[in-house]
Amino acid sequence: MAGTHTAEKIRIEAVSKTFDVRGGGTFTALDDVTLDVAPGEFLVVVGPSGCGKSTLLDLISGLTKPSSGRILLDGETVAGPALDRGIVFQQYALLPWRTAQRNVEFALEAQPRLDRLSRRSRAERAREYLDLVGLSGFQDRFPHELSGGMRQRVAIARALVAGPAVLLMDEPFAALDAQTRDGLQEELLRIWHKTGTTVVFITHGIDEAVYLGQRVAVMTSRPGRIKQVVDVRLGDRDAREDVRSSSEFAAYRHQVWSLLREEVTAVREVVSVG
Amino acid sequence: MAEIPITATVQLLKRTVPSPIGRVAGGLAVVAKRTVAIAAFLVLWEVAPRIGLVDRTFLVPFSEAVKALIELAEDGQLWDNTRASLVRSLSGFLIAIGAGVPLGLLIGWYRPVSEILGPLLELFRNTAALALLPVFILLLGIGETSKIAIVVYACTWPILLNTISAVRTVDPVLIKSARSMSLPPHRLFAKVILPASLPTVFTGIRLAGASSILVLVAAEMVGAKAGLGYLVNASQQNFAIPDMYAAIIAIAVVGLIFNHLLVLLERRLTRWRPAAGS
Repeated sequence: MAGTHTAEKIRIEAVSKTFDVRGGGTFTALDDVTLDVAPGEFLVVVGPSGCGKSTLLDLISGLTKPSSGRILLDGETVAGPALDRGIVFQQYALLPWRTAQRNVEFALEAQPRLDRLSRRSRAERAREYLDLVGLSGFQDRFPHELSGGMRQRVAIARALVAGPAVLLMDEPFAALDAQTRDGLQEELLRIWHKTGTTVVFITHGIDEAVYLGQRVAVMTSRPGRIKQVVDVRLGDRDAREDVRSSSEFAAYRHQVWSLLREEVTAVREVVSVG
Repeated sequence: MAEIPITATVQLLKRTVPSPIGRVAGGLAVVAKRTVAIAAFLVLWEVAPRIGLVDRTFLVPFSEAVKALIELAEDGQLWDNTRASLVRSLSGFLIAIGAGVPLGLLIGWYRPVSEILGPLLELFRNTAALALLPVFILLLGIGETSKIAIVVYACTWPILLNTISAVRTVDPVLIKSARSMSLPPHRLFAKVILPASLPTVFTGIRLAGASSILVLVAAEMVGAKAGLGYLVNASQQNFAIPDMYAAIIAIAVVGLIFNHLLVLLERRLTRWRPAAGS
């Protein structure tokens, strides 16, 4: 089963996903999606709500299987979930009875028995990743003692601690206030530079997509398809002051906005006709 | 730049922690608030018979009931009867936990099973345990077995039903997140489902603790030669009215202590939760 195309980290090949609807019939969440993600790339998928973005992430993570088509990771078909893909959910998904550090350790405890680190190395490694996400000194806090932004930092540390090649993020900053979100976006880019992980980031925020993504895949809704992939060439975000107010940023923002706007209008027409 | 939100939070956390003096004063206020109604009730109990609001023969003042309680304690009757009741209710209660929790985890985990058994369990739970007491006596005789059995019956349903719903209402995101780490099912159960269920399971255990004493006392009033329920009934029949009230007080105290111990245990096991009211 040698991969025909091993240059890509993730290859999504003509993938469709349909669900059975209660009371008969089917619902097509994703229709013929083809997308490649290069190793170390930061890809953002942006689309209107209900366009199947999260379905796409579930498929890459291996939690669900495509109805047709296939998903390759390093040229191998994805068979199921594994720790080589770390996931960050919008709702943090931290275990409330574990401290920040123990939550990060959780991903290491999930490793197969043979690869599992000793208790002490797990603790050390967890501490290292809490440092990476800027939470040194907060390791003994329980999730309810942390702010939303800090909880999501813990979740990012947990997703990265097992050293995954791919980081999957499902609208991770959607529940945070604007200021915290901006801060975390910067942090995420810093962490991405440092770890070299391939990132697939799902969002419905246009600014977020343009700020973070090297490429932004715009999705259509019902059924979900890839409408266009926009190359964002803003260079190193750290190199310049306030990238978000530059004219290039505005141009990219407008381009993505226009692509999405057509979608929203299309949906509205369908709704008013039907 | 991203450090700004963190420092802001730290300052916020610091500001909400009260000073030691404030904490003591606050604690006293809480104690006062919580005892004022009980104190008023006891005063009313003491005064009403004395000023002739109620017949003193049938409702003795609180102080006389306490005197009777001390006498009962001194001649050993109180301890003998309390011990008899505690042995019965604790063994019934523990058997119900031993059976209800594992069974509930199992039923809750297998969704189809819980959907099939749910209505039947609901029916059993809502059938007053005491209505079944004659059945238990017919089947198991009038001795200890039937009394412990009725406690087991009364305690099992709240534990079982709470455990089932605890397992079924575990946050799906936690399960999804654990599954995305390819955690095998038995470890998912031990590391996620079980700890996440604990608080709700404990609600069932506390409900069961209350009903274990409730049901037992009633059972002891029907047919027993010892126990606090027996003491209440026998005192009434012998017209030892102060003794009767003494036994009632003993039942209330046992119930309170039992519940308090369960609350302490619950807090210990679920220390990670935010304190209630904060």
